[in-house]
Amino acid sequence: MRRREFLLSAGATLLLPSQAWALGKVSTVDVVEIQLPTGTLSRPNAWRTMLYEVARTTSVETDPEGVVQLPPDDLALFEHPFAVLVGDAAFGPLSAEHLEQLKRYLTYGGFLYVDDTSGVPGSDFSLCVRRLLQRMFPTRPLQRLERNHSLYRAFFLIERPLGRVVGPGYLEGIKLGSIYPIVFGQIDLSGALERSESGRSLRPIPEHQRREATKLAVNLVLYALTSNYKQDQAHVKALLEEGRL
Amino acid sequence: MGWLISGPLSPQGHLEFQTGPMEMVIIAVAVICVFGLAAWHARGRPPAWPELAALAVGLFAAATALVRPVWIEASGREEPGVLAILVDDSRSMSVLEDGKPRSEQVERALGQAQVGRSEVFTFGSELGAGDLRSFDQSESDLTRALQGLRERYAGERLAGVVVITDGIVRGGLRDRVASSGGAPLELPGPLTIYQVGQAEELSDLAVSNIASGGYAFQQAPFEISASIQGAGYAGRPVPVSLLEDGVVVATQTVTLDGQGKAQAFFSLKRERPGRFVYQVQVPTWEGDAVPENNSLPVSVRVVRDKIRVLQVSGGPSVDQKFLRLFLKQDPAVDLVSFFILRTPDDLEQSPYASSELSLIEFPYRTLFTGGDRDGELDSFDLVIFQNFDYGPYFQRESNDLLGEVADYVAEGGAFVMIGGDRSFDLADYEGTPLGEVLPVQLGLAPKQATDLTPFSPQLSAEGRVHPISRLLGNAEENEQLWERLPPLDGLNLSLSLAPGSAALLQHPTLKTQEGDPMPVVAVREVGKGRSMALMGDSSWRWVMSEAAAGNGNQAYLRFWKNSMRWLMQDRDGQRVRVEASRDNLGIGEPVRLITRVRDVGFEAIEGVPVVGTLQGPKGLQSFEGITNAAGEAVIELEPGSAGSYQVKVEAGDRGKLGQDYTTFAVSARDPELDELLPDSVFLRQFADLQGGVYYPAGEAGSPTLDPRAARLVEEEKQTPLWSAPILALLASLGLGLSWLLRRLKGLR
Repeated sequence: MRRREFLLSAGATLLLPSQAWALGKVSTVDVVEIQLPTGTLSRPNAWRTMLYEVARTTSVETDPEGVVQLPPDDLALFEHPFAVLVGDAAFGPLSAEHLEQLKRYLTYGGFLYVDDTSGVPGSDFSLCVRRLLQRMFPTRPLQRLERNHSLYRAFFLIERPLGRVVGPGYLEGIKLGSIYPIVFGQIDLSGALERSESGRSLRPIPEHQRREATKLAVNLVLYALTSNYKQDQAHVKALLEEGRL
Repeated sequence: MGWLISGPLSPQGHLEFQTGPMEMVIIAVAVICVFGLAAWHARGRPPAWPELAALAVGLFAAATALVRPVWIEASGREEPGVLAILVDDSRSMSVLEDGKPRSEQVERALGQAQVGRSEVFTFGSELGAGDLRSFDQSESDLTRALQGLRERYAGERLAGVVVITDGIVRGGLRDRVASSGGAPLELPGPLTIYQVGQAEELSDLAVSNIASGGYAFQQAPFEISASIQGAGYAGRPVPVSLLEDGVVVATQTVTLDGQGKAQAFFSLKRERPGRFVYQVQVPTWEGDAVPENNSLPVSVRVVRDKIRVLQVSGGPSVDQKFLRLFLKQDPAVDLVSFFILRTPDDLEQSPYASSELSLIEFPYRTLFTGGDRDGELDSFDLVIFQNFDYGPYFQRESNDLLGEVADYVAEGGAFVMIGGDRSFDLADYEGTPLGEVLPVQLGLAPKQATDLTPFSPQLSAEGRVHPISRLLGNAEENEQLWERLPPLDGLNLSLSLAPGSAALLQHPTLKTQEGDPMPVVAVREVGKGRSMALMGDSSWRWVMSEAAAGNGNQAYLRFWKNSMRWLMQDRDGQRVRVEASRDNLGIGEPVRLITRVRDVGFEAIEGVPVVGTLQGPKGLQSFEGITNAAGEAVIELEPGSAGSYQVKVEAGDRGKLGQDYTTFAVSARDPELDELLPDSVFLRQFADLQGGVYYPAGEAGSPTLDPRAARLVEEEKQTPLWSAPILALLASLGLGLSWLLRRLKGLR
């Protein structure tokens, strides 16, 4: 049986995300949660939901169970190009060595989504994040991602980034070259995605909001993989012609 | 009485002696001695003074005659000025008009021009002495000829300067005259121009000039414009052809205007960089005076503006991400990416409406068909299939579209297939046209088509020297770098290497069915193009593991840069390069072929044997050389015939170090015959500018002469006083009287 036949039959019968068939686990998308001594949270189920939705909806092959927690000084970080930093409280400054390693990770291709789950504008966590990023890239400030940013159309068309909280209505990021390897959201995205072991949503929010949060999570993964692909001329032209831009 | 002094003497003259100073001294001493001796014998014998006086007169007259005095009188006379006649001796004067050479009209012009004192000169590249007409000089430079005339008659005013020519002259005089405000030339006499040659009697069709700009950018339209000149064919339509390698690639018909001129334009576009020789050609009609000027070759160098890369990925992945990042960060790359964001499988399971998605249709027909089908495939320098399964999209058109890609490669394109779960045998490429150009042989069942065990690839013998896998110049360091890189996470397996392919990286333990190490990276030359297979999807780890160790991402960047250069046959990345000293040259002119050989680190290598061939219209010519300390082997050849020439060189033993190609064009055109129509406009304007007279062909008239022009001829009259009779008379009388007086006194 050829692979295509195999997948078609499996997809038709199970209606589940196709099992990752990449050549090895290292080639599938997973998530690393960067853990600091204080201030950060671990929400593996939220990211599993994200990976599941990505696998179910897109052609990206993910490892649905692939969520690991690592401190920023662990070199294993470089084996997982998609990282998240989730928190709701203040954290202490990283050592220069850890900062340098994290910077190297982001400079050479890693992607970091920072998720402020506090739901409070100007939270201690967000202040610490800003300080951290300021130290890491002193000449590159966090910028608001414009409405036409590639992240908002990496897969889904997103009008407004939503998480568990409505938030400020925008995401921020730091631009290196032509891409944003660091994206900062203050909408508790993981809170909207997190489910219990039984699969039920842990936090009561409107279904539309949860759906939009899920779409944003999918776009985050797609953007991390394709960066500004959606700004390529062919895509812009086609979307304009179809009236979707 | 004038006879006594040899003739009349003018008081404006002067005296000169023809005897030298020493002889004059000897004569004077002798006279004094003779007179002194006589005076000594006469002492005490008075009266002796009469005989001494007579002796003195005789001696003075004799001495005067002996010092040979001459009376010099200078005088001059005026002669009428010279009329200098300059006859154009170039080959354009031999052109047939109405069946007769144009030069036959020179005699008639000479008959009118030669009045009074005249001297005839010819001129080609410069003024020739004397009337030695051949009408075979390769050019005629009237400016230099007139300058030569000025120098020859410096300070002398000529009666006139006559020029007999068809007006096709060089040296910038025509441009100077045509430009308004041109100052007249300083001529030694008034100018008269006799034109020979009449446009009405000339029949000649010619490609007089080609403008191409010399170079063009690939993928961008460029234009070759040709000036067509048809003397005697005004108003006629002319079919103009553009040829490449002797094959007509475009034609158009232009109509000659009232002056017999027209312009043809050819719009072209080359998909690949390189040198290309074109030829513009017009037909040879009956009576064509110079058929050799009916075609003109031109060499155009097409260069890359940007490297256009098509990256097609079966789905976003970490491996695809890093390759895109690499390609996007290179400003020389124009990247077109298409990622399959959603497969038919995903479609079935998705709870989202299409309107919620930011997806566009995969334009596979446009991407994978050539220009002849309005596709864009030919516009790419490199096509990458990264874990891409064509099946769900191409469907019934699979063989057709994959055939297009295979043809693209064979015609000089560059292609890479990168592994994954949707690639090679897992995507059924076996038996497809594209499968035939891959460097690996497919045919494994899906369950046998992969090995998921992590492994560290090893350099093969070829890989140790191949430009793709030489990440560092030093072989040992290069090997250490490959050993340092992290393991790959699984491998697409193959039956074996395809014929004519080479494995650069191979599996340390797995073997093909033939018992050879399983290829990991393999390359192949297919027709004019090249293909490469990377049998895995985790090369991105070469970036992150090196970055983790603080080594940057150079290994990954160099691997892909090397790959791109080799696949696209980028001349900048070639260790062996050959250049012709000129792209366009005339027949008989030598061409220098310079082959430069570099080592892996691009240092010049001395002493490398270079062999090559020159394929021209008359066959194949071989040559060989050896590189000098600058790594250059210079071979000078003289192409024997007109046409386009292809040069191929190989460096090292059996071309081990590499090979390269170039082209150049040789024209049989005689530049002197590029233009045949007499330039009566120039001749008339030149005569006007100089205040001279212009006679069109066939018109009679005398040259303009300057009546004041004359030259002074100097003359000199010499009267030899030493032979004057008076001197002989005085000498004989004085000496005779002195002797007689002595005898009368009884002396001897």
